[in-house]
This record gives sequence, structure tokens and C-alpha cells, in this order.
Amino acid sequence: MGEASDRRLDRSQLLKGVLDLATLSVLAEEDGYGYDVVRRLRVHGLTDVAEASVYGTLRRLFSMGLLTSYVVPSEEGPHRKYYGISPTGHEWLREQKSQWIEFRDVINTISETNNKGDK
Amino acid sequence: MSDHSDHMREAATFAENVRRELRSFPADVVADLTDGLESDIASSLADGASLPSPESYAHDLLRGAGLEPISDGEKAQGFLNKATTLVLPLWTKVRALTAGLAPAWWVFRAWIATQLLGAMVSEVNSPYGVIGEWGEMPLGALIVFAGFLVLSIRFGRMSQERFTRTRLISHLLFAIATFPVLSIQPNLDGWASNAPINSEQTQCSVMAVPNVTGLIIVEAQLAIDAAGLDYFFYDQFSNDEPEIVPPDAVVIRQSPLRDEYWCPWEKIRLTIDTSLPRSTDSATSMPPEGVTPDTRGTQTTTTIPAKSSTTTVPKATTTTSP
Repeated sequence: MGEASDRRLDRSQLLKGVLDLATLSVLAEEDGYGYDVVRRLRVHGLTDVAEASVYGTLRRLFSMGLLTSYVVPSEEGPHRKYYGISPTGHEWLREQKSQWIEFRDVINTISETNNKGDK
Repeated sequence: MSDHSDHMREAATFAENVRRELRSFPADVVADLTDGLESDIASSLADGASLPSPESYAHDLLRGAGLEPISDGEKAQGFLNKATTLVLPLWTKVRALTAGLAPAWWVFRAWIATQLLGAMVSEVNSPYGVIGEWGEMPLGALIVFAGFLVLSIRFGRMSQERFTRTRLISHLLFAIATFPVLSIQPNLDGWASNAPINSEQTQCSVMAVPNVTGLIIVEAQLAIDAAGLDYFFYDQFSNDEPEIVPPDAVVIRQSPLRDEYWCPWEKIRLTIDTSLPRSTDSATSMPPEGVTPDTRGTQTTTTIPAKSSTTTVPKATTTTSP
């Protein structure tokens, strides 16, 4: 039980570092509202992402100028707030992706070296 | 359709609770963080998700937005800072206006501290209002007062720029403490004394309590009546007021003690020992509280010095002998 929750904690820590990148990547495909972004992240495999964390991230990325936002009124209830990626956001996303790939390659190399050592 | 409206209702309630959790943040931040939240929550509920607690939801929302949830300690600190910011300018003005009164305030503060300590260490009031809370320890009161006075003066003479907040809080506390301290002073008249509002009691002039310890009840009654005070009996064994008071029972304790000052409406407690052997004709029972025996009329010419325990007065029981 404790081990499982530790593993989840590790994963949530990892997620924290890349949530901005993941959120922007999802919105680069298509504009979406808060829960829509959550759903798409989950479909891509980030099943344990917390909804509220994503909503907070959207607000933060918007205040950084990386997202645009618009409101779509609804006849059945409260309005929906949609987000789309801004030109600055596209630029930021490109940089972050290349940094992520570089980082991922470094970690892969390190972990593969470690695997050979194990053998 | 009904599911949808249920979800909307539940989402609205939940979003409101989340906003409540965020109330320590500025309103515009909360509005920005939670704008459109209802529809997102409703969608989540429609997908069959269960909602966490509003508190953890609010924490996730804040962390996602790069804000740190405010701890209880930080909230208290924030409140204190806000209160200090509001009060300090006013305080500076008050200090400038009352600068000449500082020495008087130092003395007064030391006296308040002395009285507060006295109220904690002594259960008996002193007849001297100035050290009223120290009972029969006037010397101790003076020593403590001198100590507090030195501290008060040293604290008062420190640079005004140091410990500004501590100084402000201490002034406020002492000012507040003034009211209870003044209200429990035994011999102070006026708005701050504990004199009851009853007109009869307001006109009370305090009386010196006579010494009746060691006297039989009849003697004690006469002495107390002569002093213009009232009394009641207390049984040392049952720790209650006795049903029957033998007239030759001896007063073994009294409260307050002799020479203390007492108001007539406050009865003196006479603890009697009902176990002492008495003569057979003394079985006449007496009413327990403040009622003098019929025989008192025959004794009106007897003079009983209030503080003397050697005076002999004919016992009430002897008058019934043939």
C-alpha cells in the first residue's frame, strides 16, 4: 500500500514537471475547455492527472501569455471557458519540446547504461 | 435531462465550496481561478467522476496555478500584519499626544500587573484598595509592585522604534486589563467599583468585623449586631448550614477575620462546632440564620466590646432556668 502510493507520488512529481508541456501540446491540436483538456490528457495516457491541477495550469499558462481564452455561452447552464494556444505559446512549445527530447535522451542513455551494469 | 440539472446543481455547490476554501486570496484571483469551473465540474460529474474534498480541490487548483495554499499560521500572521498596519498610524498619533503621561502610565501599568498577580496568588481581599488583591500580604505586594515598576520603566524607556508591535500589543492588553482590575477593587466607589446598583447597597459604609472566634453563639450574635453586620452559621462537619443551632455552640472560625472591612449586606460566615458537650438545659434550638433568641431583649444593656473575646455575656440558655 505504502509502496504503491510512493510510486504514485513519483509519477505525480514527474507529471508536475511536464504538465505545462502536455497541456500546451494538447491545445496545439485543437482549442478546448478545462475538462475537455483533462479528458484528452487522460486519453493520451495521463490517467492520474488531477482535474484541478489542469485548470490551475490553464490559468497560469494564460496569464503567461501562452494561451488565449474565450467564453462560449451555454443555453443549458453556465458558460464554458475555452483555451487556445497563442503564437507565443507555439514558440514556447517548440522550445520545450526540443528541451524535453534532449532531456529524455539523456535519461534514456543513463538508464540504459545502468541496465548494462545490472547485467 | 434531470441528470444534467442535478450535475449542474452539484457542480454549483461544489464550486462555491471551493471558492470558500480560497477566501484568503484576493477576490480577483479567486474569480480568475474559478471562472467557468461549474461547467467543467458538471462535465466531470457527467462522466461519472467522483469529486474530492473542496479543500484538496482548491489546493490542486492553487498549485496548478503556481500559487501556494496559505497555512493557518500564515493566515494568522497575515491578519496580524493587516491589523498592525491599520492600527500603527493611529497608535503613533496617540503616543505623540500622550507623551507627557508616560511616567504615570508606567506606574499604572506596574500596579495593574501587581493586582493581576495578586488576584492569582491570594484569595482574600485586603482592606487597602491599592493592593486590594494581595489579601494579608501587603509587604509582598509592595515588593512585587517595585519589581514591576522597574520593569515597566525600563520597558518604557527603551527606544520607541524597538518592539513596536510587542509594545502596541502590551499597551492594549494592559488597557483592557484595567477594567477587570478596577472592577474588583474592594474599596473603590464609582463606575469602576463592584458596588452593586441597589441603592441600599450603594450607600454601604464598610464596618470593621469584630472578633467572635471562641465566643458562644449568643455572644457572637450580640457582637456582630453591635457592629451593624449580618451573619450565617456553618457546620464544620457537614460543610453546610446546620438545621439546628445549639445556642451554646462555640464559634470556631469566622470569615472574614477581625478588623477586616465588610459591608452589612455581605454576611459573616461563622463556623460552629456542634459536637462540643453542652449542659442539658441548652437543648433549646435556635433558628439558624441571623435570628437572635428571644432572650436578647434582656441583654440589651450589656455592652460587648466588638474585638474582645474575654467579655462574658449571660448565655441564652440560662435565662430559661427556674
